[in-house]
Amino acid sequence: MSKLYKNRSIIMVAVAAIIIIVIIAVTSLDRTQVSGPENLVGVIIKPITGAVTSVVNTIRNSITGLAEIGSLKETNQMLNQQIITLRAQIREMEALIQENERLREMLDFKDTHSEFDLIGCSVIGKSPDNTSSVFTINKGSENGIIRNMPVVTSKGLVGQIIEAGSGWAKVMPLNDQRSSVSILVNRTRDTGILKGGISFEITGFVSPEAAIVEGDDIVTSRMGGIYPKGLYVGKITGISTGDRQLLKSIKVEPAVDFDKLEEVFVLKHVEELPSRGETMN
Amino acid sequence: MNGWVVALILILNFILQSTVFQYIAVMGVKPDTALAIVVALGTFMGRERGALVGATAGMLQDIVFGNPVGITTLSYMLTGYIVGENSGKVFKEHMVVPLIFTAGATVVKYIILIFFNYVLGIDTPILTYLRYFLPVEMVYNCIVSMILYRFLFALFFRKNMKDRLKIKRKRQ
Repeated sequence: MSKLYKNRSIIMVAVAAIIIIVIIAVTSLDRTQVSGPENLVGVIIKPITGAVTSVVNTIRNSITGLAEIGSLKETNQMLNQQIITLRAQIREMEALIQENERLREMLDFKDTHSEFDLIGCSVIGKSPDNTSSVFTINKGSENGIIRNMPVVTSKGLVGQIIEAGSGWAKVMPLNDQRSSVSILVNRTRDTGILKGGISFEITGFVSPEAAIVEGDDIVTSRMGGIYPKGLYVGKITGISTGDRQLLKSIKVEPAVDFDKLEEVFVLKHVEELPSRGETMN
Repeated sequence: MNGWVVALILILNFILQSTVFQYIAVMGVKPDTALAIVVALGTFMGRERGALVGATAGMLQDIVFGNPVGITTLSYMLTGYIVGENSGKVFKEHMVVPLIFTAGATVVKYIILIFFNYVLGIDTPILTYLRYFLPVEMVYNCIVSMILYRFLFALFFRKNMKDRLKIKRKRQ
């Protein structure tokens, strides 16, 4: 009897394992939306992680503030000097603001025809898994967010949406090892590929003839179809050409600090970009 | 310990893991507190409920962050089951129990992860996984596991003790 009982639980676990393997297989295919039950979990978890993350961010910021107390006197002097220069600058600025306003009116026309909508989102949680840097944001399919939409900050490219639920979505950042992006070296127009790495550094390859130097800016190319052309990625910090390497490998310092992401933008309407032929220089 | 308490512990842990615990990484590696909890509860609750606790903890993490969904679920479920299966053979009070179980569970987790990444054609630096992430995380997990084990041990058996007392009183 006890043997039967033991077998029963092994069979149960085996059946469960098979079901999970099927789920792994199904979810590893390209899918744009999370399923109903998954979405429910996300919707329940979202407000809690969102709240905790914002509390943690506040605490982190105030700790950084406390650490600076020692240098306050020095800072005060420096700031006083700065005030004087800034007052002069403010007068200049006021003139510039007026000019800016005029130019903005002219630009309004272009804005309504721009290729993207920017959807502002907050980062609400990061993957506990050491081999993954996937994070979640607080907006999803109800804002029109779908798979493959690029995610950016004001500094540059962050990554892409991999799945969207209602009110939340998963983002695969550039530095995740499963992520890759096709790039252009901005100065020389050489194309290449960047990949995330195991220790979340970003490396890539360009053609061996590329006359690149350290410090060159990297932007996205449109090849691959996910990212629009010209989003800023970062700077080249290392170049190496091994003897037997067919390609030049590069190391890239991303413009975005992936550890300190709080606000990101999702780019919508990517499909309305000009066709590939027009964008290739 | 009833199911609701376990569910509460798992959800609370998950929320902490995806927010606060991001900041306690050592050498770029975060401890897997969910695994430590599965090991502890698997030891106390036996193979079937251990497997259920593991599957629940894994599913929570998979659904919110997993891509594909299910790898963590599978490894935690097997961890819960195997730990529960062997829990009858050990002295649960001894701190070497969570140490050995957690070390083993971390290895199992990485084997399953590498296996599925390989099968699904996800480019994986297997050597870096085995040489860096696995050892560092194993040490960190073991330390965290011993702390959590002690805490959960107190929680679990104090509750059971109270239940037993109640039953005794009723009989009298």
